[in-house]
Amino acid sequence: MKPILEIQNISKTFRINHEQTPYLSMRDAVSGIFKSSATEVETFYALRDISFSVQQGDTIGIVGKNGAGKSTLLKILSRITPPTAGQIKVRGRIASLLEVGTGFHPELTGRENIFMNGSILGMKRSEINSKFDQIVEFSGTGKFLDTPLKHYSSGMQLRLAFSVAAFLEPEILIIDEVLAVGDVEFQQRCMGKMEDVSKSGRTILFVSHNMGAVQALCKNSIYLQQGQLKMQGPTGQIIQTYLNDQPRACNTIRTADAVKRCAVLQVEKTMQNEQFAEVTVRIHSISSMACALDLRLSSIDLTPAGFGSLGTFNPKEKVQLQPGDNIVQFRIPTSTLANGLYYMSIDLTEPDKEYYDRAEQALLLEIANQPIVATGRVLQLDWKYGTQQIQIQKL
Amino acid sequence: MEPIKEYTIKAPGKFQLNLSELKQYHELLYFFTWRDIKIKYKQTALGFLWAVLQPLLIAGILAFVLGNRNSGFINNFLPFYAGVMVWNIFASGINNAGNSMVSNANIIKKIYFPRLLLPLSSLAGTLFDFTMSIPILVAVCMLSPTEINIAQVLCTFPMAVITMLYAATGPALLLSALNVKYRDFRYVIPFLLQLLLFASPLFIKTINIPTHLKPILNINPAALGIQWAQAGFGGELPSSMELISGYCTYALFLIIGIYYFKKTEHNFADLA
Repeated sequence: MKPILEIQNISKTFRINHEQTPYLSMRDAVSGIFKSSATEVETFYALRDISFSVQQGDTIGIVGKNGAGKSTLLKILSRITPPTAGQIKVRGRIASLLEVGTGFHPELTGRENIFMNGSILGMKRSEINSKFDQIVEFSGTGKFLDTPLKHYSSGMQLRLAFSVAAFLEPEILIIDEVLAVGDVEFQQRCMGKMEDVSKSGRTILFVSHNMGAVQALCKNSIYLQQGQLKMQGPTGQIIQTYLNDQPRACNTIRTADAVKRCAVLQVEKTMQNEQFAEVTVRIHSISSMACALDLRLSSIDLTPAGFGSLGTFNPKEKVQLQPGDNIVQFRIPTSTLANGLYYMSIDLTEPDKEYYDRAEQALLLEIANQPIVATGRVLQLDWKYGTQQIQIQKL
Repeated sequence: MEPIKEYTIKAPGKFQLNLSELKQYHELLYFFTWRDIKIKYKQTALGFLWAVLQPLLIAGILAFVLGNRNSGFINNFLPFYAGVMVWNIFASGINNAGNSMVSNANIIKKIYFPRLLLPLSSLAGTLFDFTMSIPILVAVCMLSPTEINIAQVLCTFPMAVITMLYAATGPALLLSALNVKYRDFRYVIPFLLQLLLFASPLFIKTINIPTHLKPILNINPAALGIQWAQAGFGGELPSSMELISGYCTYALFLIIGIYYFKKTEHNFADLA
């Protein structure tokens, strides 16, 4: 069977006019006739030569950093903006959810907005009529159907918006980060609904920064980097590559402080997989000495999540430092951490006596492990365990 | 379930009108129009009355200031009211359509639909105000001391509405597309409409103008519609020369409007 989506050599460029405002005014256009093009025009590739195809029933995750071209790709697929080169063969009806509640108007009532939004999303009036009761029930806003939307709480607006979208029945559904909004309960409901949709044999393209959600929903993924298709394949591998690429920007590089006897210069994650993360620490020392290396993990809101040490609990494990730069490598297990982002801080101490150095939030660690459903341990959400001891395995 | 159609997304190529797609989206056209009408008079105390009051007052003032002293007020009022009714189709149509892309930018950026729907729905929306002002016209006709040729009005008045919509579509599309790129047109549109109003038969008495110059007045896209509207109420019928010059000019506007709109519409999401 032919793929439902064939993306062939898609590129999208924008011209960046340096020294000019993005809004053209008539005056600029008229004066531009007389001016030789003194302004520098740079061609920027938002997407460069992207090709892949999607089979019917696939759920494809699209991952990549901000600015990698994910949203541009979705906009091209949704026909909002055309590609500069290349073509896409589409064999089905596409509905795109680049935001929830497109076309909602605050002055219209809930009932009217359901029809407006449904129609904008591509539903026929008869279709909306037949699903109207289900939509209302799913949204739980039945009491306020004839109240103008502006009197709704933002949560209610969101629920109503998602409910309309949830009853779309296209062959291809394109979703951009809509799950990033709303509370935990809402997000779970969205995820549940999307799983239903994908089980019913429809094709989903899903962009998210939430690796847990991508992992849970998508079997295959593509990884965009600076407008180019870096990799495509099973989601697990893609996320691994993505995570290995990503946190380098957050790594600490510091300069040695002459007064300190030893200092953390650099913390870098050298590898990560589902079981462990491998961290390399460069430590500068002014003399030959032994110190304890303590490691603290905190969640992104700085709640402590774990503590581990080489040397504090067992003096034999202390790190031996030589004068000059030393490299210390170790592994920490990550399979017991809830999915989410963690900061890693590293301290060099003489236990119970003195802190030599503290490198706060030296590394950003993202955990996006496949939920282990078989044993009933589903760690998808950012659920805090409280602090736990981390077993550090020195390499 | 409808059969799955295969289509291709590619870089904008040659000009295509794609009317079949427009037909496919006719329900959305209806919803856009319906929305515009719904929200227009929300949170107003007088509500729909505004649609009636506005032409009533303007026509009253025009009849008072420009009317013939020798004929009665109602005889003066009728042609002005009829003219203002169709002028409003033109003016608010162009004004709303001209701003339709910018005011719906958030939708344009998030979802695909034929962009033509927005200015077209703005034009269609003006028919609501028009319809609301018909009862007053009927009432004033019944009060009129002079006999009104109802058969003629039933012919010329619909002609006026059709002519106005036809004449307004081209400029509306052109201005809505231009407004996306050059926001200057937000200020140009009201100014332009004022100029056209002063150059229309509402202000210029066609009787005072030499016959060979009359067709020139019909370059004003609002001219013929107003003439048709007034024809049933003491105005003269447009001559064949006027009709030809008028409809040809409007056709030209329409072609330019559609062409420019279609040529630039793929950029709207990036520029709006």
